[in-house]
Amino acid sequence: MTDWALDTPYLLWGLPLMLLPLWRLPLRPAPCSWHALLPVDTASRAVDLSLRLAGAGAILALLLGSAGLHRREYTVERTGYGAHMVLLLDRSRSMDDSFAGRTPTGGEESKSAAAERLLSGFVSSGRNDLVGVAAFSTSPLFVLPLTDNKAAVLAAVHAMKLPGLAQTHVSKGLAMALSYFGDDSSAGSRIVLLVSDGAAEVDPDSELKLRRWFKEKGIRLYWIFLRTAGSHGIFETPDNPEDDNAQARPERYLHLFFSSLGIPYRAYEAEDADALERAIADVDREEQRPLRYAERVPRRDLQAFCYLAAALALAWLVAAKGMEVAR
Amino acid sequence: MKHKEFHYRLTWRADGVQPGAHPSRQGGGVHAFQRLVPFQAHPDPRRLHLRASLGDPGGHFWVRLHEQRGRIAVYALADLSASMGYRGRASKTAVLADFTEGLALSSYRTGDVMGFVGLSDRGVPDFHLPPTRQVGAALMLAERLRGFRPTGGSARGLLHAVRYLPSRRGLVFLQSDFHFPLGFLKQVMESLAHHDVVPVVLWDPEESAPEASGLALMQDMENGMERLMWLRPALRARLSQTFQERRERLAAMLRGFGREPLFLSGGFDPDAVTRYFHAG
Repeated sequence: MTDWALDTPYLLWGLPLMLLPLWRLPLRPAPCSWHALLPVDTASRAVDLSLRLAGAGAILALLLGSAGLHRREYTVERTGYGAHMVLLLDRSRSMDDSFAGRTPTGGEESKSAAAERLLSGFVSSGRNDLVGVAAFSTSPLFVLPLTDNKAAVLAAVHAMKLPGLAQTHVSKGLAMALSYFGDDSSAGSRIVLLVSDGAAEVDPDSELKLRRWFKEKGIRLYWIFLRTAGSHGIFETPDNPEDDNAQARPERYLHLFFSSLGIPYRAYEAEDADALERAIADVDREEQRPLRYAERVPRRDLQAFCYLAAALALAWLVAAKGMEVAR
Repeated sequence: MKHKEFHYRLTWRADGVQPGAHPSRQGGGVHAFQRLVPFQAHPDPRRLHLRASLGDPGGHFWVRLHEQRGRIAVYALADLSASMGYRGRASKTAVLADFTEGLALSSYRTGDVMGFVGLSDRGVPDFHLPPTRQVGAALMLAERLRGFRPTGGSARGLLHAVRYLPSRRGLVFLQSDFHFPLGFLKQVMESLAHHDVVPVVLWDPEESAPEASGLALMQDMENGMERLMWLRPALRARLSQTFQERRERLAAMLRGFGREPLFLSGGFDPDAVTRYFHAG
């Protein structure tokens, strides 16, 4: 499972140098008239062996250190509570307005800023979600694939504070959000959390495709609709039957489309930051299922350990040299 | 200058004809009375023994025969294998040179001829001085010995020493550190059994009881093998004990060949050599 590797393996050609300290000791030989008269001494032999091994070890550690020994990055499968979640964020220009539909002034908070603040809190709340971020305006924006890297998700969510782009083209965004999930639907629950302040008509081509995908991939859909004061709600039935069409009331028709998908679907209408918070808390509570996910353990450099080992071995050798009998 | 001479004494009788200082089997001298011989065997009327001649029923004349003291050849037989290059408190070759000098002077004063054979691993001597009464030659050899660095890998040449020694029994000082197996020593001693061999063991206090503490990489001077020793009081005690045991085994072995070994530790002491011959 753990995988060791070197940056510059050709330095290992120096490994035969290890034989040198095994062959000769780094002490100056003192003439002795006859070895047979020297008593056999276990402690001396242990010191001898330790010096030889320290020499070889020091060379080995230095070579491994300079060759850049490291443990490769690998992934472990973990179980946690959370979901595979794609935050699909509306980046249309209207998101920069306040809930009152104006350019925010003074203490007012724009819809995007409120969504950013609350989503940040949601992301960093200690769940083991695998979160991906996608955005859409006229065309979909690929922001961040599914990842357990909270810092990256937070950065992607913070990017919502940047001024928005143009129109709302929700069907392309949905298609992109769905493309985040693979075909294997077994791993945990899959959520698309759509945060938008408007909607658009879903054209028939996309509609077919989306229907199929939502079904195939077993997606649970949450739609947090940031309703601007005075606009039409998603649950409202228009008084005038003439207005009851996808062009006039895209929000309502998108809602009807989602409801007709035959997948778990919840829609929240948030008219202010508090309502948005409640909606997010709701999602947080609902989506606490055991989730198996793969965690990436990053590469770990072991050079420091190599150099530490080399330093210790060399220190022992230097100490031995200091203990050498001067003649 | 410190005196270097010592006195040696034989426990046997020389059998040479040349007059000298040692007890001899040769008659005709003026020293101790040996026996009565018939006048015809030693026709010297001055030594006529009256009582024996008058009492002889056959009427033969008897004369007294007195001993003539004889001269012997004294040899220094030196082991010049590499281990003799050991330098402890004193260099062993220097001790060897001192001893040779002392022997040259002593044998000159005693009136004996002296020779030197220095052998290492070959059968050909590195140093060879045929028996001579010229003390200067031996002194020069001793001087050359002082600057000699022995390199021979073993002392096997000692087995050939007998070829360079005279045929008459002589006094041979076998100078070596005796750092070779006892079996080899036995062979050497057997090859020299004809002579009176005085084993002179040159050891150094530094090799049996080193004063230093710490790590020492001991390199055998003859085969170059290295062994690390961590010198500490416990090991030093064991080292001295090993040398003590070696000393006892050497003595026991050499006693069987008729002579106690003479241990010279850390230098040449002529008085110690004199004591060896005269005390006990």
